[in-house]
Amino acid sequence: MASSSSITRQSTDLRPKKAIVIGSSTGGPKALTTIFDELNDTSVPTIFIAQHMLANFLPDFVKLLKSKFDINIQLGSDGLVVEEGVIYVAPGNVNMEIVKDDNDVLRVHLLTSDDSLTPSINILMKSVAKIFGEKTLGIILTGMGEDGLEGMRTLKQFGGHTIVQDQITAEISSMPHAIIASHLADQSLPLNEIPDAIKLWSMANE
Amino acid sequence: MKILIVDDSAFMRTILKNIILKSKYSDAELDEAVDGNDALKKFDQMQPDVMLLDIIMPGKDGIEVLKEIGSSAKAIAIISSVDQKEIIEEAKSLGARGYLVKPYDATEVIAMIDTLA
Repeated sequence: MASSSSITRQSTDLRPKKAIVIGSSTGGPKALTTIFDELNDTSVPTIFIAQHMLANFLPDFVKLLKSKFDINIQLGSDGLVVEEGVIYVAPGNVNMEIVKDDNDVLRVHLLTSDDSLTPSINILMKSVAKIFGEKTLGIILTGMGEDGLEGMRTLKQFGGHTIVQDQITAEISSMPHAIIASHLADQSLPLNEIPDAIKLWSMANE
Repeated sequence: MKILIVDDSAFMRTILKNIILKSKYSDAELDEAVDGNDALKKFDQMQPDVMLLDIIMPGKDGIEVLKEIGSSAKAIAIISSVDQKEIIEEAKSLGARGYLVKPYDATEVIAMIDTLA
């Protein structure tokens, strides 16, 4: 069987036509668990996640989600071909972006980083927005700081739709608030409404 | 009641439609316009009781739509990400009776329609 890195063509059936990119920090694991609990019996589109977390905890977090829910979730690895319906979590200590290679195949690309705040939500989100354009849904969940602000700005420039977790349900609301304050949020939703918004967006973008 | 939703984002139009269909206005006749020129055409055809109008759209934007129909429309509310005071005041001077800044929730949209109806 050809390894992921040796794939030179991407079947149009497997190639995602739309993508969701989620950024989260403090409180994110709990929020993501709630979201996937509600999406458990749903066919999900391709999702990219940047969750700020110590690098050695991320593999266990992915394993936990995989064991609890019927989802195809994995840590991104360099060169991995991006496929429809798979959830890619950015690994720690690096930044993850999605790129098109010379054969037009979509792949995960990992970048080294000197920044202590990894994986960067901005870097991931910008790369996804540039590839999927208006077929991108960007979601910023709970967290401190402003990572994701420039990502959501790029996403809006490319015609995508943006959702933030509202300040009532966010454990820390600085990241969502930064998006709202910059007039980049199309919707601000309580956590329990975000799964339905994902389903609605997915159906609207078939 | 006839409600015209004007937004260049198909998904935002879907969200607004869903909000209205799940509210006390579920029996309203709804139509959509995808940009300013489409809004003017649909306005002439439908003569809506309420128009929910986005500002930033390609081609003719919401302010330009207001300049053409603001004085003759029954009730127009602006629903936009733009929140600059000057634009809000210009919209209101051109006939907008309400202004809702994104992100809005369902309750705010229905309350806006309540004030216009």
